[in-house]
This record gives sequence, C-alpha cells and structure tokens, in this order.
Amino acid sequence: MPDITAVHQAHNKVCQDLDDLVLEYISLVNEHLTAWTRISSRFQEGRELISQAKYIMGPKNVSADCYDHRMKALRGVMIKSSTKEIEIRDLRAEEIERQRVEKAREEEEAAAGGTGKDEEGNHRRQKSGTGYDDQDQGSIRAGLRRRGGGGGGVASGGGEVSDDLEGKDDKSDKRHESPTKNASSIGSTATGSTTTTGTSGDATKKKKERNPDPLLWFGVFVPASLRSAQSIFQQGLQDLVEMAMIRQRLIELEEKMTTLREAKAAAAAAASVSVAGTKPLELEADLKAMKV
Amino acid sequence: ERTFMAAIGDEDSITGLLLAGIGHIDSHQKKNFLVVDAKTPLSTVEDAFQEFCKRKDIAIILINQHIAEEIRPLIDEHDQAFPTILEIPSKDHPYDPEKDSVLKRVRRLFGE
Repeated sequence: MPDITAVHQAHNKVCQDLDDLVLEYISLVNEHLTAWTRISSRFQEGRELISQAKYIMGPKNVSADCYDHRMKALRGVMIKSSTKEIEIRDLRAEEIERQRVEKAREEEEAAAGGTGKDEEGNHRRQKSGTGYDDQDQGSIRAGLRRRGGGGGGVASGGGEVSDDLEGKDDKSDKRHESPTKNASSIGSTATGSTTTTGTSGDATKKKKERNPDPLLWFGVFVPASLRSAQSIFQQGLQDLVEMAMIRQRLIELEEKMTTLREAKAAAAAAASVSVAGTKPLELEADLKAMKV
Repeated sequence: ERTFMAAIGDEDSITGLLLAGIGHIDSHQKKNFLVVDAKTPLSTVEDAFQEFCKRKDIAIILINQHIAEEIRPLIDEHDQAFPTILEIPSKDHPYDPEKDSVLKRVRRLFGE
C-alpha cells in the first residue's frame, strides 16, 4: 500500500509542477503579446515620423544613401552569463570613460617620466622591446620640449608648449592604434568639443571632433519629426530587449515542460503497474482509505 | 563578447534602428544591418542572416516579420540561445498571429 501511495504522490507532484509551469508559460505568452502590441504601435509611430521627414526633406535625403559608413554602435546589449539576462549598454559612454581613464593613465605616466628619469625610460624601452610605447613619452616629451623652446613659432611660454606637446603626443599615440579605434576616438565627445593640438607653426589650433549622432547623417537642420522618430526608436530598443528576454524565458520553460511531461508519463506508467499488481480486495481497501 | 544588435528589414525600419544607435560598421566594412527592398534577392537575405548567426559579437538579430517568413526554414533551424532572433513588425504588413513564431511554438507545444 505504501508503494502505491508513494507512486501516486510522485505522479501528483509531477502533475502539479507541470500545471504551475503551464500557468507561467501562458502568462509569459500574454506578456509577449502585450510587448508585441506595444512595439508595433511604437514602430508604427516611428515609421510615420520618418515618412513625414521624407516628405519634408525629400525621399533621397532620408534614405540608406545617407548612412555614414564610419558609423559605430552607440548602443548595444550586455548578456549576464549567470542569469542570461539582457541589458542595454551605452557603448558611447563606455568608450568616453575608457578614453578618459587611458588619458589619465598616460598623464600620470608622463608626469612620472617627465621628472627627468631618462635612464628609467631607456631601461623600460629595452625591457619592452617595442620601438614606441607609452613609457617613452617622458624622454620624447623632454626632447620635444627642448626643441619647442629653441625653435620658432611657439607663441608663448612653457605652459602652452606643454599643452601643445600633450596634444601632439595624443595624436601620435593614436597613430599606433587601429583605424576603428581612431574613428571612435575622433568622435569621442558628444557635441563638437575641441582639443588643442600643436603644430610646428601654431601655438593653438582647435580641431573639431566628429559628432557620432546618427541624426547628423541627414543634415544639420533636420525636422522635428526625425528627432522624434529617433527618440521613439531609442525607447523601442528597451521594449525589444524585454521581448528578447521573454522569448528566452519561453524557450527555457518549453524545455522544462517537455522534461516534466516525460516524467509524468513515466510516473503514470509506474502508477498503473503498481495498481495492476495489487489484489482486488486490497485495492478496494486502499481506495476506501484514500477516500477517507 | 556579444554586444551588438543586428537588423534585417525595410529601409524605414533600418533607418529608425540606426537612428537609435545600433548601427555598426567595423574596420573591414562589415555591417550589422541589411536593408531589404523588393529588388533584394533572397540569397542576399539568407547570406546576411547566416553571417549574423555565425558572428560572435552579435547578441540579438532583429528581422521584419514578412522577411522572416521568406527565410522561415533558416530561422527554424537556428536553435542556439544567442544570437536571439526577434521578429519585429513590418511597415505594410499588419501583425499576423498565424505567422508569429512564438505562437507557433505554443501551438506545437500543446499539440495543435
């Protein structure tokens, strides 16, 4: 009797777990449909605004022909390895932060190297074995400083010269980086910020960095409808990520439900075998006991 | 690291998504998007989809539902968790629950 009860209990537990999963699955399907409706209306609104912009500016001026082939992603996603959750990442802000940290590190190294420790610089150069690296900045900067102080064309004193040299070093550092990195470093600030670079002739020369905002591909003065479309599609990205997570969760639940269904079938088979093996009088007694 | 979102869709959808900032062209001129119009051959769409699936830096592939229907066998074959395939609404094609891949899975799961 205990065997039959245990088998039935196991079967009931599997059925209960399966029911809970089915309820969760149906709830997720409902969320998926809600998210789809929300994305549909948002995208529809966005596309209507783009159509308005096309009408105002002309269809050729808002088309794939206007895409900037130097574009870099400003927004991406991050997948958490533990929970498989997906989050939106601001790649632009991360790039700006990374460059700020690099610049601070280079300034620290330059400050450490610029106290005249040429021997250390030589030692580091030999150790690294590369022709040009960050540790050489100190000695190079010292050499440039001497050259800048003796040569013509430098308008004012040491402060500006060192600013120029710093800008020049930044440029020469970037020369050794990949082209991709160069493009992103050029567009590193949000709105046309300036850096001071030095040439042999000019004390200050302002260089405008490229603004990576995709809105500018279509011109400087874009209609409000195109700006609104950008805002709507940016909000839509969050909805898309939510829908992606719902889809991932649905696939996980499907796998669990398939496993539980197999377990349920096995438990049902075990229950029927245990019932078939019991004598009729004992079975009747068991059933009465269960009803009580 | 899977960071980027790829997109396959009509011009307006792609323009909108690029305005949102997901567009990326790397140093080898490899894009993470494809604009599909009436003249785009099916093989181009299939090749782009397969390439996006193979890339290790793409986390999500967005595709218009009516384009997904054209390459449904390829999408059904894709069984990896990432990149996740997400069908998005199309401009001139209203939502059709019969074609929704998620609802198809639900019907398959419950034996319809």
